[in-house]
Amino acid sequence: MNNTTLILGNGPCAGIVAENLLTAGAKIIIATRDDTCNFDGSADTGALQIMTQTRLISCKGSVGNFRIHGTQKNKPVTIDAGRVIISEEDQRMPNFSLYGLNGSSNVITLSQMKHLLKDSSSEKTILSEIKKVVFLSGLVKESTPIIAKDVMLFSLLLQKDSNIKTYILTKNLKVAGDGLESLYRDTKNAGTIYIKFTDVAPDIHQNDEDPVRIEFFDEITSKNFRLTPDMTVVDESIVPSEYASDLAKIFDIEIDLSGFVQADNVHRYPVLTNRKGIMVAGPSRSIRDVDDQRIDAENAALAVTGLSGEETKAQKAQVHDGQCIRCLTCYRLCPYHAITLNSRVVVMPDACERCGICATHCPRHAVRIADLEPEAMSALIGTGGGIDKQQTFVPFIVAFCCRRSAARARDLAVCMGYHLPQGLRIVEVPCSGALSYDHIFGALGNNADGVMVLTCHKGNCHSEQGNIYADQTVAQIREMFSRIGFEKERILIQTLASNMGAEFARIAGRFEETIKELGPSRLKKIGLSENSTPTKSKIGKRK
Amino acid sequence: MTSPSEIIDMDRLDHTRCRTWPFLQDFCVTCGMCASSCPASGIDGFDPRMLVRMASFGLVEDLVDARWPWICTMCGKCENVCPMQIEIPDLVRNIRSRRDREKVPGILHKGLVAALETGNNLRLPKEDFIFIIEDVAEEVAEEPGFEGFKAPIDKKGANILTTIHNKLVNTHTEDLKHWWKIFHAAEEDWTATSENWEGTSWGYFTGDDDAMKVMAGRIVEQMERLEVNTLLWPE
Repeated sequence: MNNTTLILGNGPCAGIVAENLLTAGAKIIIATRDDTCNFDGSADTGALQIMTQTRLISCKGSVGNFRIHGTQKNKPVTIDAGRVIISEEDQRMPNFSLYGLNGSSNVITLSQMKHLLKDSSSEKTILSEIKKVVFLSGLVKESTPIIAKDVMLFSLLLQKDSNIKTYILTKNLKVAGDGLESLYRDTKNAGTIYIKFTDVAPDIHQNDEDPVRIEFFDEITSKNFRLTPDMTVVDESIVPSEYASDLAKIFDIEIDLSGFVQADNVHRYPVLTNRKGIMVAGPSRSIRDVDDQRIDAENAALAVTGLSGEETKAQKAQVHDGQCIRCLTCYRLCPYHAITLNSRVVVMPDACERCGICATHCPRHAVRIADLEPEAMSALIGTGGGIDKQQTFVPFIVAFCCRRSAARARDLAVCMGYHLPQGLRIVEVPCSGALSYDHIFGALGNNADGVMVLTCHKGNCHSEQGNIYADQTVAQIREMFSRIGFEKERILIQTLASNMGAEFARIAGRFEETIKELGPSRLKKIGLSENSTPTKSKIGKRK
Repeated sequence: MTSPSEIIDMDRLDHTRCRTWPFLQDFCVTCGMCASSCPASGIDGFDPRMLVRMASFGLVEDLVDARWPWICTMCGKCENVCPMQIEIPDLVRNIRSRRDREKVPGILHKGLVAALETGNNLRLPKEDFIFIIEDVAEEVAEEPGFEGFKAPIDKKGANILTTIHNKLVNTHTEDLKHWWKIFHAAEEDWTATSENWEGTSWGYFTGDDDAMKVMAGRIVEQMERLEVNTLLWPE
């Protein structure tokens, strides 16, 4: 196990991660593409290694043993690390085109304004010739509190220090951040005029170096106004750096809709990714302000120290060489990048999260997780239901529940005192993606009158697609059932979140009613139940 | 006043003109709570939010010329719901005060001028006032339990001096009786004055502080004249 942590980035967030880890006594490497490293680590010699002008190219291995190839000063370099924390800075793109403007001496970006306002700025004298400044903020594309903060802060400075009249033209002003409402008040106090647009947009005209002419209908006074500011400041969009996007590909990490590293998955704690041992903090992860970045950095450092010496007794996926034909299905499907290819296919146990997707989809039944095998689970299911004292039919219902959502919803239903069907048997699975035909047939073979598969909502799966695979499996079985004349209503798939106790009870109750109407399963009558082991092809699963 | 289609050049507006006004109109977040709570909102285009907005833009002339600041009833609901504590009724009153007095809407202006000249909004002569009061008092005295009732006008040293709203001696004389019957039952030592008895002060509505001072001062004079310490001002 390699205990070194590789930190990627050269901004404040990377710095805080480094500080925290060094304090905790960890060994770290900071790798930056820049010529110099901003982190001053002169005090720590043994624990800290700094690599400048370094770019990564590829990564192999799993948590505890990553082998990373890259270039340092254009020469190949290999880095071995147990964990990686990505905290590359984001970048700001000017929104000129959104407003139909071109950058010029009097049409500048927010970052350029920031530069002008610096005391050290040699161009600060420009401001002495200016009387009116207009800020365009979030008029076409929704802005963010970070940009709103800059807009308000610069407006305030212009009003107070340079006696420049400022206007902020905005749609929704994003004040959901610490101190932003108070900053808003300060700008109002200083004399900033806000023009808020809801249903209409201002007409913005630019003609070479002439002052920009902005005409608009003010929705509140119902009057038309014209503004010809000496300077127009255009807001910016915060996007992930291209390098952070490259890193997502190198490490095979999911990205969110805006391209930031780490998907918006509700089942993952902040800073953790789909790959164990690879964390992402601060501006690589999402649009985050300084305080958020500090929290992220501390969380990432904690996650690293928390992972050290982690041991788990749970059984992990294993590849049985004799049956593996190297079709790479498992490699392709593993959401955690836990399968590696050397001369043979190997599961890296530290990276495996036991979702079972590989085992279910292996056409040769070569990948297995012992305790999730259909036989092992059938033994757990046992039998149930039958005829009660009043001689009425009590259906035996097997519910396969994802442990992150449906199983918790069921616990909640019990806690809340909801009535659940008498013959309901819960089978908890690490992910609904672990369910194969054999699991479902196994339940029916165990005398189940109905089978429910209860998964996370779409887009909420910890294993990214496990619930979608389960959905496909159930759909195929239902179709097969309708073709052979068996009631497809005996199989149900539904999505649930962990807080949906009442819904769990309702779904189970309604399913019980359906099964009662259908009566006992015919599979019982034909004596499938005499053999308690499920039907299974000797060669492997046909799927 | 600007016409609706005209484009107002913001560069020529001085947004600081109303900054000395103490009503916090610059803090408006344009949420519209005032407009949605206002019972007069929408009447002839009245909209408290628009009023606040125009004040912070510095469109004072437009506000002063507009008819709709006069639609406001000063009920204060807007101020009650405003998240930024903007004192909208005071703002309205301030705007009204800036209008040329000759252009103050008819009834308010005439009534106030009449009150300043004659002591009451109706220009009711003193003799007529006394006649009405005595006549109503006689009617009260005819009712069982109120035998011998008399309205004590100009009674020196009474406990309470009450002002009278002009409509009570004009169209609503019945309402005088309710007050008097209560005084009678409570054995209250009360009086009203034969001069400057008017309780309403329309300077409040027209934003005329000087007129309000005159009207209030007259009531104080009457209290001093009749040596009464307590005033009942049922307005």
